Amino acid sequence: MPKEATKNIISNEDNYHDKNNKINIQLSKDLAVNIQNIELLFKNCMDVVKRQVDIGKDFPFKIYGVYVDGMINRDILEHFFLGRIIDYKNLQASVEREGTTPSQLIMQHFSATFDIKETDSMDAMVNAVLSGDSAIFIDHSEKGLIISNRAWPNRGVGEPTDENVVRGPKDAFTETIRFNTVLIRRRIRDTKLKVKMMSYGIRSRTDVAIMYVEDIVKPELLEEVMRRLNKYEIDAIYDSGYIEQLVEDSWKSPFPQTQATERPDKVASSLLEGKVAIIVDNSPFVIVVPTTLNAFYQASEDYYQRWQIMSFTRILRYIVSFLAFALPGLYVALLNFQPAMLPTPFAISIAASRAGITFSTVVEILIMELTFELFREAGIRIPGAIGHVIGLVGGIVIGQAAVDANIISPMIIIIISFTAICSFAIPDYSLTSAFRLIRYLFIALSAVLGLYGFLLAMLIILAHLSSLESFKIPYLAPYNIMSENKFNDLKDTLLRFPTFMQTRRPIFARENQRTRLRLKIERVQQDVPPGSNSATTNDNHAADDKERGE
Amino acid sequence: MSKLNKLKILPLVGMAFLLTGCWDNVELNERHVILELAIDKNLSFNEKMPINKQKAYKLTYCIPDMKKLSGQESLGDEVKSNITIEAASIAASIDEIETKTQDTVTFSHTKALILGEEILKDRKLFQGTIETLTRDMAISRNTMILATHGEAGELTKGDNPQNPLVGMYVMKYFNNRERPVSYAKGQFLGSVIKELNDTSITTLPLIVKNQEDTLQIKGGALIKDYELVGWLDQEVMRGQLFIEGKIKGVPLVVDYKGDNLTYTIKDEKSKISFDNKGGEWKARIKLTSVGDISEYFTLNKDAALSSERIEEVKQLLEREVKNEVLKAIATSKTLNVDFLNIGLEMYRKHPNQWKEYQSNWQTTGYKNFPIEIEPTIIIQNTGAIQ
Amino acid sequence: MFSHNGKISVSQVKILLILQMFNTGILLLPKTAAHIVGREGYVLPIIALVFGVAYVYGIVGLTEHFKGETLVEFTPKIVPKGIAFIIIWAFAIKLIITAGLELRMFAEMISRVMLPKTPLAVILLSMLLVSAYLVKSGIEATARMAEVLIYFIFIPLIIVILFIVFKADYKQLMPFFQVQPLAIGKGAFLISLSFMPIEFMLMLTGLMEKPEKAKRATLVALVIMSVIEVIVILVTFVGIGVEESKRQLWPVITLMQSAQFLGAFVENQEILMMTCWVFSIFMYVSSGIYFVSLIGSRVCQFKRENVFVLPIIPLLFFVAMLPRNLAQVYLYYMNFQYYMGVWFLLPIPLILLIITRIKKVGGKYE
Repeated sequence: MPKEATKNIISNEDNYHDKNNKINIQLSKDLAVNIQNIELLFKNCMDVVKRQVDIGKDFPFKIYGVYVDGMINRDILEHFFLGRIIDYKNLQASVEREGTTPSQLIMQHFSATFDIKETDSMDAMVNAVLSGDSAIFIDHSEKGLIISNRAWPNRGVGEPTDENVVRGPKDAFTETIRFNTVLIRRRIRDTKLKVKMMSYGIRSRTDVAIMYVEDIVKPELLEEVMRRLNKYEIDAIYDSGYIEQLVEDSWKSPFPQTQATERPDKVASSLLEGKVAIIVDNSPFVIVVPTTLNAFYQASEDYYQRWQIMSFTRILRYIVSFLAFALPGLYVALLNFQPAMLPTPFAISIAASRAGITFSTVVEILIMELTFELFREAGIRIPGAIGHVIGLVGGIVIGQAAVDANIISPMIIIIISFTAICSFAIPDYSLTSAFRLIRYLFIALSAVLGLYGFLLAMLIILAHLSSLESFKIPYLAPYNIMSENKFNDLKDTLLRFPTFMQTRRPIFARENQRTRLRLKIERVQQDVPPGSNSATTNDNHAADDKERGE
Repeated sequence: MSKLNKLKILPLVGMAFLLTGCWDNVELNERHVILELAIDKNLSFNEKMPINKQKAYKLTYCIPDMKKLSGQESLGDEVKSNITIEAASIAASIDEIETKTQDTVTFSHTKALILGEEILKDRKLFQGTIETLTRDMAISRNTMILATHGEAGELTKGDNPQNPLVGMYVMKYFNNRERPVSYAKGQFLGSVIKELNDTSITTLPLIVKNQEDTLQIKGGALIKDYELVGWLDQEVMRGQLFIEGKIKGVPLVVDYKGDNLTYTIKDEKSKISFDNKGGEWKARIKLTSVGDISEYFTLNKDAALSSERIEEVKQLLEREVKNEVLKAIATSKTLNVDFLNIGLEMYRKHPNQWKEYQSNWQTTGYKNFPIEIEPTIIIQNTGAIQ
Repeated sequence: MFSHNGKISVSQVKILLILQMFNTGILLLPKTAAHIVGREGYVLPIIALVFGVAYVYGIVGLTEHFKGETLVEFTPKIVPKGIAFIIIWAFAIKLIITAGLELRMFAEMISRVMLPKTPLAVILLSMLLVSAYLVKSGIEATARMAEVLIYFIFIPLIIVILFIVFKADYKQLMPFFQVQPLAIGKGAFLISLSFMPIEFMLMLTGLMEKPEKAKRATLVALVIMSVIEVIVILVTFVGIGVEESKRQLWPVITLMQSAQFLGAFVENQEILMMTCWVFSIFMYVSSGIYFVSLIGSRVCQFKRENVFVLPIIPLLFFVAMLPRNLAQVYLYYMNFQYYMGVWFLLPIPLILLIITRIKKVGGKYE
């Protein structure tokens, strides 16, 4: 851990908090002390509701409840907890007779909520309050109760905004971590789907869930994920983007080394491929690691529609993504250095359209590129309703005027707009951003060394991608480790093979857990214990595959 | 040095690179794209000058106006401007022309090289031209090379109603796959170089201006040892194409019982073999043509094309093909130039036999070598009516 | 399995070797073949295979005794330290000179075909820096890069060759069987020098995951390469003619220039074909840099392999800039290949192998 980070966070230390911002006061048996501590901790926190209630008619028994106003479901607290126990006759007597503590008694006999638990840590109590639970302190008890009745404002499960599909599920992750885990859980009803919770950020205490399928994920991957998650201490995280940047392999690379998605089906299928999902509270984007370049070209829809059209789309995506970063550079290289490569009629028409243009091709390209980036950036800020209009008008008017004014040639407009459209055909936004950036490398090198420079830029990018890894998986896998996994990973790359042929899980999964699909016919007779359909090894997988293939 | 400092220097180096670089960077519209190049011998050069000062070449560069060419308005008046340069070498002429033009010239899209009659007659100049074009890779080996009567420069300077640019005309002429191959054999620079290397005999297609002032490509110039031997007319060229098996889309008209019958060859193959039946070696050229009867009209009601009649037509056509090919062979024997590549074929198929002929092939060997023609006509179709 | 262990797989070795052999030498191959045996030059690579196999048995036979060790580690075990030192540094210097000359040839070619006015130094340096960028990431990255590059190199090449094959003049190859056996022998030896990158195996076996498969991998690469060479020579001969192959400096480039794609959207595809060579020279140069820097760091017993990468660049640059003109580069290149090329292919590994057998050092004796 870097030294500066520790130094800054040490300042968290005060009378109630240790250096990790954890509360170091203990729960007291005396309710008054607890009340005093809570009052001190929540001093000037007007959104926190604190109240002492007497329970029992004959022998008043005090409890003290704390919650954040607006974050809890008051129905649960008032009807099913308070309403049930407030009139209880003699709590004290019951405690003595049953031989339990008051908190246990309340929990086991009186409370009408399921999700209630006992704790003996002040820190846990306070944290629960801040997370939207209710904390109940009980007189004469060293233990407090936490009633889980979170109900903060949320926008529910909506439709994906960035990863839309025509066919396929239309639910998307939302800002609430619990909803997100549910969305995944609903897709994998397997006890082996594990959810590890941790909190991240010393001050924000953001909930982070790590999901994986226990017997498919490689243990070393899980270990590595945990190791990297625990590598830094940060004061707060607000989005999964923070985690993404803290766990990635190479900070120098413009390429995304984790996959962020808002589609639960994508995450679920990734989990069954042996990947690990990291879900961050308050973020509708779930991170999946490890990822490869190829994974960014796989849209969920690819698997829901017919394989021919989706294979065609895949190839198209690869081609357009090449154009997305290469086209402007290629244009400069061909036009200014190797015009011999252009077909004669084309060369003539370009030369004619360029006659009288003020700027050189490189400058033209740069002007238009930057203008387009400006449109993109401005387009986000312009209020929704007029955004489209402004974008359209701005684009058309400026483009047309610039051409008419002989500032840029019409061909450049075509090139730049085509490039822009190409870059949006890639399913992943962060990959698009990487391509946007490396486009300038291509333009620069092509401007100096022509097509040779363009090729050098290709080499630089390829060398970079070859050396890049995501959680020890080569980034260009499976293209540069084809023979691994018996060439099976290639079935989901440029071509998306028919579903029945996708019999094996990719390299992310454990070696003995690579079968994901097999013929059922001969297995009907065998007595298969439940849940073992994926646990057995795949001796007859090849035979199955063959049979089905014929 | 710390990591950060290194990173700071890199963009600086990059900037310097960008600013000083771009050695080969020339905008496309700042280049004159030479589409056709006419090469002539300068007849009026001074032979008393030292050899490096003799301006033996006369080159005509045709500079097209790109805007005019693509149908837009331009500052220039003409769609092309021709500049004639007299120079001691082709490379020197580029230097010279750039004093006379606004932009630099590029040969990246040169489509046609047109050689004048005089340069073809001058062995040294012609060989020099071919060597230059081979050595300097600026002009693509896929460039069409053509010959013309008289001065090539005159041909390119003149107006052509169809397309003022001879280079474009030639490109479109030869790129069109639908066009029949019958009167001229298209030659690339590369194929001419290859033929000259293999046998030192080649033919160049002939481009001329006809009476209607339009361009016409037919016939050829026969070159041997980098020197013009003679002009071949279109019939001889057709005979050569028959022997090379390249005929395509060619109509043959025969007189069938007093009526005109036209047969169109769709495809043609040839096979040259040698045998020594009766102690004497001879070449046997088998020509197989596949085609349709495309035009036949007769007033004779009984003369519908039955299978027997088709057989008769076939024989007529075969005789016609044989005559055409024999004409070419006769010409080549008269000129005593083996442009039909019979010798090369013999060397390839019977290298041991070739050793006997090799020494005197050029003088008497070819002249006296018997060649037999065996044409076969296949009539696939007689059209929609019988 | 994919961790940074600095080991490469068997198929990666094959691909690396193929790409390294597919260097500028290929562009000259038809010329050499046409010069020595003329029309039948295409048989040479097949016969050269005999030499090739001998080289493989020498080199891999030697490395087999020392699993996981490179030339740097095992030579001192075989011969006295002083001699070992000389051998190792001779190898490093040889690698630098070949890579340097190769680079210069390549730069001349780029200069001729693509960038006539750009200074050679710029072409050279830019290539060197890009190679260094890859090498910095170690052998695994290099091997993975090779696995990707192979498509970029061979797919365009195959397409162009297909185009040529359909329009070629096959009669160029006739008459058959007209050749002197002696010329074939000499030619085959010369052509076998194009297998020179096999000598990288002296280092590479030490970095393999399964060194026991080194021999097979090398042989496979060798056979594939000789088939490619046969195809290249054949296609060049039928494409531009045997006589022209003799005359042209880079017959393969002339061939690419002659090929005509009708209706294609590129003209002058020889420039496009330069892609292949830019990529394969890149692999060759980066291997050169990598192995020299590996020798350096292993001799000095540094943990990091890439310490020597940057110091090698000026060296290579110097070697590349040494010849004054193309004719001289060509002369240097051919002479160096002819007189020096073979040393690390056969004699040195063989002598070391014999000493190993006599002294019985290292493991594995059948």
